[in-house]
Amino acid sequence: MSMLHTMAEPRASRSDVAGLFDEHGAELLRYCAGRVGPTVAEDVVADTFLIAHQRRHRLGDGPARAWLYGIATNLLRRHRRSETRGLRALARTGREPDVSDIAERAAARADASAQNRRLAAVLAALPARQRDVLLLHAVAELGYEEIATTLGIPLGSVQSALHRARVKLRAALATEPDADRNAPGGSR
Amino acid sequence: MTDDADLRTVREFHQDRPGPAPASLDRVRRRVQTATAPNAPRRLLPRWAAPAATAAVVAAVVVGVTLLGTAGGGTSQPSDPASSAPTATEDTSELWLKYGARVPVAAVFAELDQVAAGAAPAVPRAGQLLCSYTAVLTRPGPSPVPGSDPAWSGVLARCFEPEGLIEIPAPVLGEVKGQSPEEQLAAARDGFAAAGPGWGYPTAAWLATLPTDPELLLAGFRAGSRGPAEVDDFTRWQQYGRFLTRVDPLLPAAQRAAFHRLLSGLDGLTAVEAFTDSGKRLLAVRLTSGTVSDELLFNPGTGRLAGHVELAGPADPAASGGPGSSPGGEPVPVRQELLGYAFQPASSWASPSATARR
Repeated sequence: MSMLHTMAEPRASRSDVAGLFDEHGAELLRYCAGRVGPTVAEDVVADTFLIAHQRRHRLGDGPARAWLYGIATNLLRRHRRSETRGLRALARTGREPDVSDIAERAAARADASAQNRRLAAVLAALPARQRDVLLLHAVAELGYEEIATTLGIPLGSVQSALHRARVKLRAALATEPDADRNAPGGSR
Repeated sequence: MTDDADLRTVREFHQDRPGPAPASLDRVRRRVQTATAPNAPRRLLPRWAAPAATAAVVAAVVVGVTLLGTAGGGTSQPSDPASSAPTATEDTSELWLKYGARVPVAAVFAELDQVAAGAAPAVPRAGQLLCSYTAVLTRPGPSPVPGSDPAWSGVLARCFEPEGLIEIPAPVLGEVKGQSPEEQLAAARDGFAAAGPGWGYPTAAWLATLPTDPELLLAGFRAGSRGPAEVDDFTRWQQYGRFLTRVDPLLPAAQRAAFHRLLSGLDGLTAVEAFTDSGKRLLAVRLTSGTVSDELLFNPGTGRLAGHVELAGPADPAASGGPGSSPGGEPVPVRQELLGYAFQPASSWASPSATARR
């Protein structure tokens, strides 16, 4: 009962997606690699641009960068477990879980600082939406309204999610380093 | 302000994490360009499958979603004379797995079990379907006969109700044996209601009750399989492969390990590393019977099944030149399937039958 599916012909030339990739590809790849590791990030970013290509008629004159982050964030949700596992591993061991196929320079920084381990534990424990909002704001530097648009949630939800995430974040950052030694596992 | 100390710390933390490999950006760019090339035939998912686009698009990227011609080893079709695309053979040659070093079979399953031990099977939410997206490549074997299957690539999408793994017929397929899609689904549901969970209608709860002792599991598998209880190892291997493909996302780690022990007990297995075009490492375990080989692909990152490869040959070692030929007389892959699974709302399958009342 299998079937080969057929899709309608795209309407514009591929220069659209090529231009988008030139402009935002590297940045998105870096963002995704920081979240789910370099291997999975390639899949996520490739999918992001293919979906963007298929849905480019929806973009109009809107901001492409935030739109792409929105697509990537939706795709990253499928890797939520592995992302959380990676953060927990980092919090627990101080070592990045996915350094097998990156340049040697990464090995030198694989041993995370105590602060990074605390951060990893906090991020691992954050609910999905809070983590998305926090990273889109802090790393991708999207504004509240951009995040609301890209995630399809109300502005107030963005603000409350960010507030809650930052409260936890600040609490963790205020923790004395020595306190970590007794709680290396991070939050589950 | 994103320059606040806490946000800056998050940003620096993110920057400290492993970044993409040096060739990563070029690799992704090539994948995107290939899949969006204007002269690439469009055989992607229809709108009604769009909500499950991730798995499908992954598959589409992998296979390049190109329907290949049959003649001339799969060159561009005559209907596209203006095409400046590479020949279809060039288009897809990179998409076939690249095989690496041999690996002891026991080490493969030990590695898979170790990885899978920490993972719980996915749990679908109410109203979700389990959908599989299979990226398929085929090509003629070493000795293709006239009228044999053409070389092509594409994405096969199927959706199932998690309870009983009842397939939801795609509406465009229309009637089968005089039954509409709705009637087909109703008949399958009736069958499940009558038979209950079991080998024919697996459920997550039932899978979790399967014995983890390989002997007991084998006894159950024999009893639940159609056909004779005693079959040759190659047939059993294929049966295991089909069953694992069907239940993979719902299979608990302990039962998966028991199946691995059953698999590893078959005679004649060999294993090698295999790499996708994006460099992802898989483990390929192969069993050969005569001139036919059957290979199961496993993901060492998750311990789960990742695909399936059929190989043909070796043909006459003196023969050469065909797309499936191998100068060393090694069997060559003629069909490659890479699996992806996703849970998605029944409504997104857009089949009237998928949301039909029971």
